[in-house]
Amino acid sequence: MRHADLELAERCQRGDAGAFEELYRLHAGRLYRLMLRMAGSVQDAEDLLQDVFLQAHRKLGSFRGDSSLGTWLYRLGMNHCLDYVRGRQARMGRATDSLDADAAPEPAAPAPAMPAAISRIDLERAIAQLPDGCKAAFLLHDVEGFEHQEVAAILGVSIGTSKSQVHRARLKLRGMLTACPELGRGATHAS
Amino acid sequence: MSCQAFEVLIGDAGDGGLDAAARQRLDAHLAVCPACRQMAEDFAVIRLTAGALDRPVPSPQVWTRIAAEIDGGSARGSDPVSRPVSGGLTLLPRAWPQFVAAAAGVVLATGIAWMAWRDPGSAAHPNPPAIVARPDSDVDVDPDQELKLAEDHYVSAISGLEEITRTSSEALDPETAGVLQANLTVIDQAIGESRAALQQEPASEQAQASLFEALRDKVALLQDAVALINEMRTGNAAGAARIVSGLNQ
Repeated sequence: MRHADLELAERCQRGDAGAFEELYRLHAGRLYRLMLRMAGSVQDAEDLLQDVFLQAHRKLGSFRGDSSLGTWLYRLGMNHCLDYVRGRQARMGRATDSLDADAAPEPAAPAPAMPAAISRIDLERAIAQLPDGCKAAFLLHDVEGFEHQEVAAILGVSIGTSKSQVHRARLKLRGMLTACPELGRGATHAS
Repeated sequence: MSCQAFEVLIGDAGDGGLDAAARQRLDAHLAVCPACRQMAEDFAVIRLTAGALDRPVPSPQVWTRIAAEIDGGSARGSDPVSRPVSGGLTLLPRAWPQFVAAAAGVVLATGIAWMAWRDPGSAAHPNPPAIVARPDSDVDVDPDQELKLAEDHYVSAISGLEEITRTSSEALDPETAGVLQANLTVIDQAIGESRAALQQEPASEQAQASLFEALRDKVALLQDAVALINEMRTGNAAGAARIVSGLNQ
């Protein structure tokens, strides 16, 4: 673990308010974007972000430095976010998918070509329709730029599962952006 | 190897995780398999667009509430931002007053940029004129109107800044002007997309946030352009280089 992480964690544990604010400034933006795209609303994302940082503040004493402080925080955040989203879906009677199991590969559909450029809003809409498991992996890897090793650590899965979930997400997005008239074909330009 | 086996390599190749031998095998397959080649191209478009998605930030009130909770306060109950809203307001972003406040700040900044352009020595004017008042969040206002007002502020600021850059663009070298124009085109596309999305779904928080982010980006870019023109006019090569470096990012 990096020395800076350990030092920041220790300062937070000692009750240094400035250190905890530094932790927030470092990671709140990325966590918020992940939560916004997972939960789908500004209000839910801000509430989840608040919950996660309050949880982190309570649990910092249990941080042992097995991973980086950032990974620990993102793992806490994604677990909380996935619990929330799945709880909401369960209440609505919708089935959810699993992160832990390697998903069966999607058939390589010989679909017509996707548009050469897609708009960000079309992609946002398509991402919103992804199953939670592959959505989380896709957001972490393709949107936020984490490596598969980091995605695996954050989601508590193997690197192979991270790769297969991202691949599954890309296949589904490709299918949606190709097949749905509102997604992809309506796009006229990239942004 | 089957096409399905190459799918994994296509993903790995895009993520930069292929060794030279695997890359060679994949390239050889892509050369003869249009379906896999199409998939590789589609994945590249998805990855590229995904990496360029909006990067919204949480409202400052989130940290305020966290800090209050940590300090033992009861901010959650007392902060009007965290109270559940009712009726038609539920579909509006909770950050809408910030859009308006940010727009007000943008107009003020535009005024300062304009003054700096007219008279480079006045950029640090201690008391710039109050061009627009910050909205009072305690006053009962119609959020739809306020959002429209915020957008109007941005559009007005953009219009003023565009006027400055148009009339002074000869101060920029062709390459810098090209970069500026390319960036503006991308932002204009984003603004157009957001407006189109808002027309379809006027209450979409995502589209509202996306529109305001794109408008903010455009104002920031034009402000950089005005600052660059000012640096060129005053002969500050170092300052100009610093701004050009930002434009290229």
